Amino acid sequence: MSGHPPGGWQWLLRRLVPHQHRESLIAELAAGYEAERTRRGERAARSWYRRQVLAAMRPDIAHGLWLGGSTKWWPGAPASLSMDVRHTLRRWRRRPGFVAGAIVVLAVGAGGAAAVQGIFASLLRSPVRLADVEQVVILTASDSAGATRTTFGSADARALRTSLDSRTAGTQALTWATVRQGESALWGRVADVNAAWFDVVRAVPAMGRQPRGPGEVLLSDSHFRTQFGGSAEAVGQTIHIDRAPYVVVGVAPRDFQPPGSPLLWRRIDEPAAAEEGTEFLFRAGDSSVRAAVVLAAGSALAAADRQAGGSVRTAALRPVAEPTAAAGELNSLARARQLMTGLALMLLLSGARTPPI
Amino acid sequence: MTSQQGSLGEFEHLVLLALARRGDDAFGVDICDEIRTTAGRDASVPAVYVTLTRLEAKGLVESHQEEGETERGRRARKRFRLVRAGVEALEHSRAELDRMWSGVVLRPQRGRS
Repeated sequence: MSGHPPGGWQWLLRRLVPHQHRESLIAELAAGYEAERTRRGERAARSWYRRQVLAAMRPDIAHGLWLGGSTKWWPGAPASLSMDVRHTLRRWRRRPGFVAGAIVVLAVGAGGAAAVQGIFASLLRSPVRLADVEQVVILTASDSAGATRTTFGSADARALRTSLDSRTAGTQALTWATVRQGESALWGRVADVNAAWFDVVRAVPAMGRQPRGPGEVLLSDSHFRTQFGGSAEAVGQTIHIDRAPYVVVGVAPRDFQPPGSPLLWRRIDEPAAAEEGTEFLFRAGDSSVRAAVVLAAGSALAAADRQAGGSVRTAALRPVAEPTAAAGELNSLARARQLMTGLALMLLLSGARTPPI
Repeated sequence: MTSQQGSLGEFEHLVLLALARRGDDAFGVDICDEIRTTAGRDASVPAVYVTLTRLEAKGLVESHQEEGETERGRRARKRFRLVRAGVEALEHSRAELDRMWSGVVLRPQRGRS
């Protein structure tokens, strides 16, 4: 008969115990095994060893071994996980009917939620309504490690501003701002657009006109309805964006849903004449902006890319592979809203089905 | 013993006492044997080992690793030793228990089975 502890149990112990205690605990148990074997024989010693390894699996002991006397670095996750698993298994054993019922309810609930979300998605999710959706491109920058990002610092923005001209692209940058109207204030996305934006996307205001210069804004249909009650008197009113006054000059058409779903659009300051008439949307001083660029009809992506790449080493225009998918991505806020609506409906339905107590 | 260390737990108390009874350096298995033979309680080696590690972190015991005898296939074990703070902790704990025991008359309380 072998004088060594059972290999399988020793293997298990090696995997249970953290490295800082592994060797000394294994040595301790090997010595104990030897003593047991001398005292009570091989069979009893093996049994003893097995009990010791099982004891090391007890949640409180495993917790102590992993903590190692310190609470600084390890939250005791393996122990609490094993405790949870054991608790679950005990519950299963004691109440199999309840567990089967819970699994069925969860499965039906998850399936139902997915179905409702599917219905909502098909009914409510709409593609970006732009004249030429295939002309929508996202401006991305690649860093030296090859990682792609879609937000830009002001240095990149300044460089890009001189590299794309408005004959090629209508541009929109999204920033977050506080929009005040009377006593109410709303924190939301504001789109800064260049002069070519509305022409390129072929958006004719449903009311009023397009902004023609700095200090003028065009409201989104949803903002117009929620904050102004859909009143025609909105046009001509003054609102404040981050405390700066702007005059509402028009309202976007209801089906105009460009990327980002902003509350409103404002024209950025015209660049200086010295910049050769370029009108890119970025403003120096923005810490970070996200841009969507719409190429003018007939403009080739390659030409715009050459413009950007020629003067900006880190940035390049990249086409959106799937315009519809891109629309979905850019409308993530709307999608999240739809999901929340679906979940709320599910909760209502599940509540309605609950029998009275 | 500092207030941060708090009172000794019951098993910590047993382990420290077992170490004190050995009167010298002891391995984890020795402590187990001591607890089993004296207290009549079956303590596992991992439980004792974890407790000793905790007591070491509290500064009540200290340990040193023995050299392994590789030619005989023996691994390095840890020896544990009671230090002054451990002795003080035991004395403190004993005094605490003595005070609690003093004047206690054990009898079932009314309304309890």
